[in-house]
Amino acid sequence: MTPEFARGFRASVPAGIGVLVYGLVFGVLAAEKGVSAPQLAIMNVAVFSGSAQLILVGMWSGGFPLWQVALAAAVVNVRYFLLTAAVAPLLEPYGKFGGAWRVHFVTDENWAVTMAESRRRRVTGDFLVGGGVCVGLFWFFSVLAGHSLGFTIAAPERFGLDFAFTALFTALAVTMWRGRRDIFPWAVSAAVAYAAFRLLPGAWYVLLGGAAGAAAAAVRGGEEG
Amino acid sequence: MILSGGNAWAVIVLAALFVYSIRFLGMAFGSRLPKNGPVKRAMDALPGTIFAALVFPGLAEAGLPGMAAAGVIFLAVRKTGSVFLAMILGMGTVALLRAVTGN
Repeated sequence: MTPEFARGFRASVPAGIGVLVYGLVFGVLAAEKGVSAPQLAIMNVAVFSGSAQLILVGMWSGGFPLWQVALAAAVVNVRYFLLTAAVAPLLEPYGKFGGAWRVHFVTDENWAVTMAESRRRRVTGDFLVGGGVCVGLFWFFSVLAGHSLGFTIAAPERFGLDFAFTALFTALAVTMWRGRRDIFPWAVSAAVAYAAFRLLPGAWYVLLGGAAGAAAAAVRGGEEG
Repeated sequence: MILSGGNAWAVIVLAALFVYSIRFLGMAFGSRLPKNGPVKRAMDALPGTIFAALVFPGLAEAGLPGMAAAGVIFLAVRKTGSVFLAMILGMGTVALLRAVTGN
């Protein structure tokens, strides 16, 4: 463990506490959907992305084809492409293999902490990985803690728990709202999604709606994000 | 159908591979992506439109309690900025409306 790793770890603790709350909620919901603790543990390490795991678990009991669920989980994470592109210079000194495993530790939280730190001084990839391990530990244990709590709740529909995913997804959608320039892409997305939901089997509605909305944003021009 | 046994593990492994690929490809090739123009606009809009596509049919199918909850959630996120609080209020709205209407 290098000093940079430790610094990155410490700098990400506040972000980790935010992750903890989110992890507890996610764990409760995952228990509600019937995801087992070992499955959740592996998912926390192997997928290691809150939004992708949320999609995965949200679609867990829908009877969708596997690849469509996995693809929807990945597509919600295309922004990682931009995040890891931005930190590529930090990972370059470690070589191809050194960078290949370190890049798995990029999450929204430690990425933001690392980018903020890099405005003040020269940071290294170890700072980024230290932050990723910090966020990852908070995520791993809070999700499993939430999961063990979740199994103790009886008659979930009495508390509206069956609506929890839709409620959480709706709240997250509102946070992603970028103002008036989103009206057109979102309207296209909702219309295509609803038509596909009615007409097509599986999870096509998520993929088609999302892609149609993004295409609408591409053709319209106007201001850049 | 709930994912179980081999299917559950397969979907986890598949999602892990896809998500890792995005991380890796971003690191390897991300610098070649255009910094503006249509591709950039589509990439920026995509996370939001995916959530819109995911949420809208569910809300429409949930009927009146679902739509009322969506309104409460929208206001709660806008006023408080707390996703967690908004979610709890949305669930409360649905539970309350179900109790009142007897569904």
